Amino acid sequence: MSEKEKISIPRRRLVIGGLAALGVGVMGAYTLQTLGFMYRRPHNKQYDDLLSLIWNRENAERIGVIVLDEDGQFEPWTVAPQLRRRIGKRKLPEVILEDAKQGRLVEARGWVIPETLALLSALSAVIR
Amino acid sequence: MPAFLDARSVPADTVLETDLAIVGGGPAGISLALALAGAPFKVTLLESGGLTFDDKTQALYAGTQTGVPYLALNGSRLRYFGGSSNHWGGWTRPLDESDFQKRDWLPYSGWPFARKEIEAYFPRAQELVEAGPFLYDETMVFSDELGRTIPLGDGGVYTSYFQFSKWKDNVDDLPTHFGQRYAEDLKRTPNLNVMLHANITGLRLAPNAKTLDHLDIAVLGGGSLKLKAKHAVLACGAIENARLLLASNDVMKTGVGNQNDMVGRFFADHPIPRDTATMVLFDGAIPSFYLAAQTAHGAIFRKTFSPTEEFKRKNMVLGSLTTVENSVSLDATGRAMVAATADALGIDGRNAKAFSLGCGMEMAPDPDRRLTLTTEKDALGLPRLKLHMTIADSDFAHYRDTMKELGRQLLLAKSGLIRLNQASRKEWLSVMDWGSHHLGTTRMHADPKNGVVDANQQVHGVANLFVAGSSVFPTYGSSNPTMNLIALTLRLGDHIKSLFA
Repeated sequence: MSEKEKISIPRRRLVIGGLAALGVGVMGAYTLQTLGFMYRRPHNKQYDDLLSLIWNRENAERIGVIVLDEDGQFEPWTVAPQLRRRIGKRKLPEVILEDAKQGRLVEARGWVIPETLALLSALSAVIR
Repeated sequence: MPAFLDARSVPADTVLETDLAIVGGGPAGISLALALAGAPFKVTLLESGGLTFDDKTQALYAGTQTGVPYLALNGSRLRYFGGSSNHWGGWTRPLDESDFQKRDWLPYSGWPFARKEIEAYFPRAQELVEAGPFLYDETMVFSDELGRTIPLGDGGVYTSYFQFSKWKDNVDDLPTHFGQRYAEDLKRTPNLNVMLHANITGLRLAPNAKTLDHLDIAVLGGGSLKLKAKHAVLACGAIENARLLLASNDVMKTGVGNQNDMVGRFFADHPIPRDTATMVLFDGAIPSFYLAAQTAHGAIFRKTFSPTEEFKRKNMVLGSLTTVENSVSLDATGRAMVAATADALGIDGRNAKAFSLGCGMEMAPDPDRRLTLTTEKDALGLPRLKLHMTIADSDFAHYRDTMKELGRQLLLAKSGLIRLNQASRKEWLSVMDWGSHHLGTTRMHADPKNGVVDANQQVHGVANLFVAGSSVFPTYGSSNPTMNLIALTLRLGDHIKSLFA
């Protein structure tokens, strides 16, 4: 075995170890994403008016993660103005009933829920 | 009172004669025989089996299958007097108007006549199945007496009603078993002979192939007879009707009535997938008429959910009847969905309960879902059948659309919400069961190129041969077939009377 070959063994180990660490990192990130943490962005008060409509953030976030999982295009800065226009000064139940009346429904893991509830939940999942 | 005849006791090679032969002693054959009681012509009803179940006779039904998993051909029907009414569930409901109509979006749809053509026969058919007064959706008039109806917002799904057959004076509350229930009435009928253990093995045409000359009858264990009949009606179910026509290929080489390769095609059943959806009611209160059949106003009812005629037409969906099956638990996601939705609607969802839904679905007609003869033969030398079974993804999609509409209406009424439990074909097939309602294999159509029998249920091209039963249904609806096929058979009875007039 030459001197060069002796040196190359620890390098190979380093490469393998590095790849393994990268793999663990990717897996961890995927797991976190699956749990919804990767959707989160720093708290931004500009969405408080919408988030205040939600009674139970824990339930909303659980639903929101599913909605986001099934709709990868969700962008809070696009959806929020639409929600504000839709809701206006009305109470949430009125808007929810309007969703049902107009067939604005979303399927989230099979659950047929009003679109406004789905979008608020998704917002809740991405905003601290 | 004369007893039934037994073909086994008739000397071999005897040639019998009758005016009308009815082949099959199930609900169609027995109803037709009763309808012709007292008519000025002689009727002979032929039944393959005896008065009770027999393994060797039942084995005549065996066949093979390809395609989508389906019930064994000898497992979902019974070959003795009374036929499959000996094990039916008694679910009864008339077909909808749209079931008879041509639907432009649905290939092969459209009966040769409208529902009103058989409506006059519903009351008598209802009497024969002993399902009480003919009420069904008229039950809504006194719906409050049947317990609360689950509130639904305006939309395409409504609360519909099944009624149930109940065998008169039967201590076990069974549905009417036609053989036992009507045996004495049949024995009292002066112009009728009933012959048991008489297996038809051939429909023998005259050389010109335009009329039936006689029926070959075989007896298990040996012996054969002939029955010369002026007219004959096949009433032995959608599988055996097709088999007899296909196997009788001595004069018409493709089989009787099969000059256009239509016999045996369009086989259908009602898929009854389990746990199709989970319905949550926010108040948790499920009225008893949804979960099980209950008695009121002299009838036995069960509430179901059906798509309205308008919803079916506008959304191009097939019929379905959705039942509430049992209560179920929700997982954490389900509990969050229920709580968040109730909160968003501003109502109290703390008492919410969930229920599994099941259904009976209509299938789209498919010419490739068919019965064909095989080279294997049964104990009487008759070729056995192979069934190729199919179900289209669109059939599932139609039902899913209806369930989504039900979910919308529950939200609109603030009464609950729904989860659609099956999405992929694999998931649907994993929960699939079947109604054992054999349909469609000798479909009715005015044009011989599109059907086996005409609007009078006469086999195209054979002047004195008719087919009764659900094998003549061109489309199937979602209602259980028994009462409907009896109404249709009573109409055929009137036509036959006119032929002898």
